This record gives sequence, structure tokens and C-alpha cells, in this order.
Amino acid sequence: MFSFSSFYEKSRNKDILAGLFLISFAVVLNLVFGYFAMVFAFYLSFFKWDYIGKMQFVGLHNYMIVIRDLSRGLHGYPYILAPFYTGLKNILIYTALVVPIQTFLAVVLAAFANQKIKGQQFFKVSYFLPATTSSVIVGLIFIWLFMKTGFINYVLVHVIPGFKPIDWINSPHYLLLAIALVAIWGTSGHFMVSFLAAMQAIPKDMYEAAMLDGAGPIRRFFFITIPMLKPMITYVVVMGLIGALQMFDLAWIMAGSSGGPGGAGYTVALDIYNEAFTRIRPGVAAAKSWFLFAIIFTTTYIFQKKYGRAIR
Amino acid sequence: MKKIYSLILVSIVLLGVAAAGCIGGGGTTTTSTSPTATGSTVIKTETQVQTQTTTQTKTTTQTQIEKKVFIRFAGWSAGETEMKNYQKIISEFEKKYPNIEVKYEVITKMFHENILASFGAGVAPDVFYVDSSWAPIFINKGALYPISNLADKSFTDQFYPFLLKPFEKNGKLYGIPKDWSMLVLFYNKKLFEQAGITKPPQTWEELEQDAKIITEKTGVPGLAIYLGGFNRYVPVAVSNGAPKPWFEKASDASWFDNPVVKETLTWYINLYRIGNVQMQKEGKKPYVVQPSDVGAGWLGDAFGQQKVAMVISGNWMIPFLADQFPDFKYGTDWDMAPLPAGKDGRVTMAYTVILGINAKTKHPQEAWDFVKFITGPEGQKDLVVKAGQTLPSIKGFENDPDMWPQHKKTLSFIPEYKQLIVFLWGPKSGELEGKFSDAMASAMRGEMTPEKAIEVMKQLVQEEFSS
Amino acid sequence: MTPKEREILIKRIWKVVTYVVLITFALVYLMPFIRSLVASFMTWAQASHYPPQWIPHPFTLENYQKLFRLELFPRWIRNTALYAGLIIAGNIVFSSMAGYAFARLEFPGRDAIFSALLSLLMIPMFVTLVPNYIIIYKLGLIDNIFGLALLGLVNVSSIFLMKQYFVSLSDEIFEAARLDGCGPVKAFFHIALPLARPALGAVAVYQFLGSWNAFIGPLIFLRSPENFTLPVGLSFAFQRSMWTEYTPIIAGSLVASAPTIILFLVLNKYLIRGIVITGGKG
Repeated sequence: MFSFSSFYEKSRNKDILAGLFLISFAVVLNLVFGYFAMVFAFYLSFFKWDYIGKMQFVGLHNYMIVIRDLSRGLHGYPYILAPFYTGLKNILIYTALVVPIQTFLAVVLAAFANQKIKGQQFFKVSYFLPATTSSVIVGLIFIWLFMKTGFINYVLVHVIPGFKPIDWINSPHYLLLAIALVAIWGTSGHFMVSFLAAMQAIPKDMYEAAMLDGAGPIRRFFFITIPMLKPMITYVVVMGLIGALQMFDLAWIMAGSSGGPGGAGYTVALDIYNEAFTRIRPGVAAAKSWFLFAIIFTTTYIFQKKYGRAIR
Repeated sequence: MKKIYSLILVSIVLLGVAAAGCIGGGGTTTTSTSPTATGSTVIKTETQVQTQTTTQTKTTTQTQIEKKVFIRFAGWSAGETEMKNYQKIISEFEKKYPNIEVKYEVITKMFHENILASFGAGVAPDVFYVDSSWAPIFINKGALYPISNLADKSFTDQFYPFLLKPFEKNGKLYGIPKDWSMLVLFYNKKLFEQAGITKPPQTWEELEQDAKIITEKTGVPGLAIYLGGFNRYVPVAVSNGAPKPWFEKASDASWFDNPVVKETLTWYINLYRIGNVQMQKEGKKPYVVQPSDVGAGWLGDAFGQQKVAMVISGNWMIPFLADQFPDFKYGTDWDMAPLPAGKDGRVTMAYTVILGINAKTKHPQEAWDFVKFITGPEGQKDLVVKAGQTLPSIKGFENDPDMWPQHKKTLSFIPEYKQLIVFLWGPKSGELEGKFSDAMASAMRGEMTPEKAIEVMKQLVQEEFSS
Repeated sequence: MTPKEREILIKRIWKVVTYVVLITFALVYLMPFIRSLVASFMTWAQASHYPPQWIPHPFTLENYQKLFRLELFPRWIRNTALYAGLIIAGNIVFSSMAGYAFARLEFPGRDAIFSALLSLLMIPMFVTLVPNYIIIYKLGLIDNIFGLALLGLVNVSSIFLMKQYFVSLSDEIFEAARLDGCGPVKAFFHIALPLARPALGAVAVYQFLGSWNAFIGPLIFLRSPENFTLPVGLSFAFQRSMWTEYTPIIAGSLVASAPTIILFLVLNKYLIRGIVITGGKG
């Protein structure tokens, strides 16, 4: 077979070998630490377990619990009786709010920070600063800033006429918004870094040609920068979706593990945590994880199919 | 171009190696990084040698190292000071019991979650903390070793009986309380003076009355409570004649049908519902607040900032006030009183953490020796009395000169109480506490009526134990 | 107005708009830090005062002193640096290789393998805790920075980032190399890697951020205070079960974010001054 392989076939075989070699480290390490855990989680979802005793096979019972929870939520039960539904509802609102804004801000910030202007370094560092602190500490600091007598209300009262201080953290109406604002503040600078890197791969002559054609900076941004950044936008949106749909730390710190007033800050990840460790039903936690997995997988898949066609 | 890239790479690797070098240079890490590995080898040799240790044959130091029993002890820790206190006690213990080596593990957050996961992986520590509200889970699932099989009566008799009782099941004891705290009424003496009130409130009605008077006279809200907080409400119910709450089967939900519970729970919810929400609607100054209403993170913070006149909180507030508000002095500025009485006398809550022994431990006797040392009079003198964070769980320290006067005063309240209830309402205490509190909070904010909240709480108990 | 003047005017307006936007954003992004910085020199009694106060009175270094009085503080910094160093090194080496293969080479099952890797990011960590615990324990690496690092040595997110970056490079340059008889591995070392410096910089920044600030992983897999990383150490030192010492935590987090900012500034060069790729015709 090799004897009369053409030039292309030879290079294809080389590709296969090289490809398998280059991914082998990543695959092996993830096989050990990722897939073992994943298989375990799948197995666990059919069992009742309390960590201490023996596992007990319960079939699809754990999945039924999740479905009952969802149907209760749809029938308007209070959130305490339909925690997964509440978490899901909140997290979808949160994701719809956070992912578009953080991605947009990240591109815009990167575009500004990439321009040759005075103080460029200063601006870039200021936008990046929020990303440097851990979300646990960010959460703690923002609880303090979001207090009814805190700094944020103080500013808003002085900037917006007639504004009445809001008890952000303890209000069922504003808690999720507060968490989303903190998340956007922290992640837009984070993802700016990806765009800064990707902008280096855009050929300069494209801009030069556009400038000669009389395209202004806004038009250059929309017609050159954005299309050229497409693969990186896919990355940022997909990672943003994965992160937002699994959001835990900020809600855990800012809303507490029971989700704060009226469950306003309750998320699916918090619910999975509570199933695993408060209600001691790791099997149900695993079942809920697979629901969440399905949601994340579908959303990211649809997004990649629809917008990610730049990836061959 | 390639050069620069490899430069980053090399420098990063160097950074890693340098850091590793530093730590290796520290000396201890190389041995302490893999305690589990050394642990298992030690355990292997131990079985053959144990006969020797029990007959107490003196051997050379070299063989003594080999026959060491290795015990893992896990707790959370209140900072470096407490950690050092523990390390000191552990080294004293190791001196006294040269055949036992203790590895102290600290899990700062999500402690019980971590312990459960390590049980799941089959590698739980030999001795670990268990918070009272988590204890039933560990006891019912058979995770804890029945300590009463090892303990002398003379040892357990030293403890306050109400602290041991909740950790007994079928006549066996499953843990030793390492320390405890109780709820007391903290009040701001100056605000009381300004309002013309001469003594702290003696009944629950007086508590509400005083809160109103103080708010009227001084403009400072009289009382701060948490929204929700089922455990803070329980003393109100029991002091008015309700039985102690206990939920382990669906029919236990009938606790909420008790007329005393209905009445007192409505009163407690209305403290905020009327004392704050309704007052604000009427444009009046609220006389009950939650900490965040006055810009504070928790009750202690609100009280320390002198933004409220009274709070009901535990001994943990005492070191906080001393540390964060040194100008706000105990005795002159603030004082403590027993919780107000109901129709049936006074009742308060006790919060405790026990030391439990892993039911699967290979060395129950050695683990018990350690627990005995830590929770015995010697251990508690250093770890609890001198540290001043909490109360000792053994009797006899009431007049100890090392005891902080604030803590001493709270201990003097004990005889006044008809009952001290440990924070524990059955096998799902933690979860029910959280859900009850959510329902109560929602009623306090006026989102549902108190009747509806009581109904939801009842339903929660039925649900929890129906399947 | 001549067209020339108009153009200059537009340029001026554009410049002003740019600066207004930039400064507003900078204020919003920086404000919590400025507040934190000021508060880190205050007592908690003052920091929680309303309306907010700006001049620390009394001015106190107590919060920083509390930090440096911790005997283990330098130790935590070294631990965190070691952890971050290992993670960055692992990710840069392995993820650039894998990312290149996924983006530029054709081999059977490529997309399926990539999707499978990506789906690893979609399982919440609480259900993977026990199995990972078992593995790390079996390896005897509990309470060990190296064991912790093993879990994050090749992060799927880094592979994804590298892949997307390699995809966005122009095809011609790789095509040209291939026609010159440059094999896939050679092309990786001689063409892909040098071009990938901005993306490698981004991976380094991300992995540094992730490992420097990691909380739940170290919390679970490290057990001795002397082996803690900085975030766990700070929580250990200043968070009680019932309350938190806010001001030292704020001070601590400011100290902790300094290395990140420095690293960002250093790597900034690679993020910005990267060579600009000009298609295949050059």
C-alpha cells in the first residue's frame, strides 16, 4: 500500500501520525483525570449513596426526581420545593445577560487598548485589574460595596437624581443583577486578553488598504476586526457559556448556598452542590449534572454550528 | 523569534524549580508532602509490633520510630493562633504517647463536604470535627465510632450533660464536645440609659417593648435579628411551653400544629414584619432591623458599630467585639443578660462541635487517647479557656482565672435556664434549618403571611421524610 | 470648511470620544480597587461608615501588618508560585501541541476527540470530586502541590484557545511550508510556535490567573497550613465560622494581585508587539 502512495497520501499519513503524537499528552492526562471522573459520575447517577455505606441501584429514580422538580417549577410551586427549576431559570437569565455583554465589552476594550494613544498601558492595566483577583475575594469585596449604605448606592444616589438606595444583596429583585454586574466587571477584562492576542494575527495591510479606501475607525472595527476575530469570538462565547451556566463561586459567596432571598441568587451549580453535600444525595447531584451537561452541550453546539463556521 | 519563546518557557520552568527548591530548602515539606504515603507504610509495620508496645518493652529509638501509630486529625481552624495552639497540644500529646504520631489537617471551608467526599473515596481521617447540626448524618450512617465503648464514665461525667445527650443513640455516645457557645442577649448600656431603661428585658414581650422605647427615645433601632434564622426562634417556642423540635419522620411535621408554635412563630415573624416592614410603610422609624438595614455584615457588626441597641447572639461575638471594636468596652458600654423568659421560664440554644472518631479507623484506641487528651481538662485549658473564643465543655472552669470575664458571665447564666437546647433537630437539621429560614424570611419581608409560612414549613418536613 | 479641515475636525472629535470612553471605563473598572486600597489603611469601623470616607483616620497599617505577621505568609506565596509555574509550563507545552494538531492537521476522529475534550469542561466539579480524590490519593499525592498541579497540567480551555488561534492564522503560510517539504512536526516548531507567541502569552496569563487565584481545588487537595496556597491561606487566617475580618482580606488580595499585574505587564509585550502576519504572498 505504501509502495505507490502518492505525495499527498504520504503527507496525509504523516499528518495522522504527527497529529496523534501531538495530542497524545493532552488526551492521556485528561483520560486519567477527566474521563474517569465522567464515567464515575454517569455510574453514580443510577445509584443511591451516602458516601459512607454501600451504593444502592435505583435505576432512573434520580432522573425522575429532577423531572418532578422541573414540572413542579412549571406549575408555580415555591422555589424551595423546585430548587433545580429555580436555579435553571436564574442561570439562563444570568447567562443571557452576562455572555453577550462580557464578550462585547471584551472586544471593545481590546480594540481601544490596542490603539496607539497616550496612556494606552494605563487603560489596558485598569481593564485587566478586575480579572486579577479571585472570585471569592471579589465576591466579598462587592458584598461590602453593594451594602445598602455601601459605596455603589452612594455613587448612584449622587449620579442619578431621585435614586433610592437599594439593598442589592438582600433584595429578591436585585440580587441576580448584582451578581451579573460583578461577573461582567470581572470577566470582560479577562477575555480582553484573548482578543488582544488574536488582534496580533490580523494582517496590518488590511487596515492600511481600508484606510486608503477612506474607512473610518468604526467601519474598520466592524468590517475588518470583528470578522477576523471570529475564531476567538467563538472561543470567548463558548468559554463564557460554559462558565456562566456553571456559575458557582460568586453565587456561593454573594447569595449563600441557599441562594439568598427568595432563591434569587440560586444557580444550578449551587443546587448540585446542595444535592451532593447538604441533602447527601450524590446520585441526584450526578443526575442533575447530566441535565446541566445536556444544556451546556446543546447551547455551545448550536452556537458553534450557527456562528462558528469559520472553524473549518 | 523562537529564542524569545523558549526564553519564556525556560524562565517559567525555572520559576517552578526555584520555588520547589525554596520549599525543599525549608526542610519540612519533603517529608510532609506525602503523609499518606508514609502513613500507609507505618501502618503496615505497626500490626506486628503492637504487642510490643502494649507490653511496653523498651527498645532502641530506631525501632520506636518504626512502630509508631499514625493518626490523621482534621479540623477547621480559627486562624494561625488557634493552629499554633493545636500544634502545641499535639506535640505535648506526642511526648506523652511516644508511639502515636498525629497529622493535623486543616480544611478551612466546606469542612463537612470534604469529610464526606473523603469518606466516599475511602480515605477519611481518623479523628475529625463534626458540627452539631451535621452530627446526626454521621451518626445515622454509621460513620462514627461508638466512643462509649472506650470511654470511662469518670471521663464523660466531667462534661455538661446537655452537651453530651444529643450525641447519644441507643445508649451509645458518638462524640465528645470540644467546646461550645450559647445564645445570650447583648445590650448597649449607653443606649439603654439614654432611653431611661434600667435593666435588660426579662420577658419576650419586654424585649419588643424595650426595642420600641429605645427607638423612640434614641433614634437607634432597638433590636436586630436575622431574617429567617429558625434556630434563633426555637428558644421563644420552647420557653413558652412548646416541646423541643425534632424531625425524623413525616408525622413530626405536627410540631407546627402546636398552638404555642403557631402563636410564637407568628410573633417572631411579626417582629420584623410589623417592627420593620409595616413601620416603614407608615413612614415611622423601624424598631427591628436586620444587619444589612444598618449597613452591617452580621449581628455582631451591627452591635459593635452601635447601630442597634440589642442583639441575641452567641459567645463568638465576644472575641469579635474585643478585636474589631476595642473602644467599645465590655461592662461600661455593653453588657450581657440571659435570654428573656416565656410563660414557661428561660430557654437558650447551645452550639457545639464534637470530636468524632472514624468508625473505620484502624486505631480506635489511639484515636481515643488523642480525643481524650484534646477534650480533657489539660487540653481545654489551653485550647478553649485561654484562647477565649468559646466556652469549655467540661465543668469546673467557672472560676478559672484564665477565663475571659465575658465568657465567665455567660456561664453564670446556666442555672437560670430551664433548658439548653443543642442546635440539632433530627437527621436533616442543616437542610431543614436552611429551608425553614427561607420560608420565615419570606414571611418576614411580607411576601407571604405567617400562616402560609408555617404551612410551607410543615409541608417541607412531610416532603423530606415521605420517600 | 474644506474637506481637509473637516477630516482634522473628525479626527479630533474621534480622539475626544475615545478618551472619554476610555476614562469612563477605567473609572468604573478601577473604582472598587481604589475603594479597597483606601479601605486597606482603615479600621473596619471606618471602612463600613456611611457616607463613605476617603481619608483613613486613624491611618493604620495594621491590616498589612496582620498579613506579614502571619508566619506562613511567605510560604503560601512560594507554594502558589510553584503551583502556578507548573501549571503554566504544562499548559504552554502541551496545549500548543494539541491545539496545533486540532487546528491544522487532518487525522481520523479529530473533531470527535476535540468535542469529547471540550465536554470535560461541562461537568460540574462537585460530582467529579470523589473520583479525583480517589486518584490523587492512590497516587499518594494528597496535600501535595504536585498532585494538585497534575489535575490542571493540560487544561482543555488552553487547548481550545490555541486551536482557535491557529485557525485564525492564514492558510497560505502553512500551505507554503508544506509545499517546501516541511513536515507537520517541523512546521509546528518552525512556523506555528513562533507565530503563536501572542496566544501563548494569553494562555500563560490565563493559567497564571487561574492557578494563582484557585480556591476550591487547593482547599480540597491540600491539608496542611504550610502547604496552602495564598487564597486558601487568607481564608484560613481571616475567616471565622461566624464572621470575616474584612480589612486584612482586602489588603491581602491587593498584595496577591500584584504579581498578576506584573506578569501581565511583562507578557504584554508578546500580546501586543507580536509580529503581524502578512498572508502568503510576502
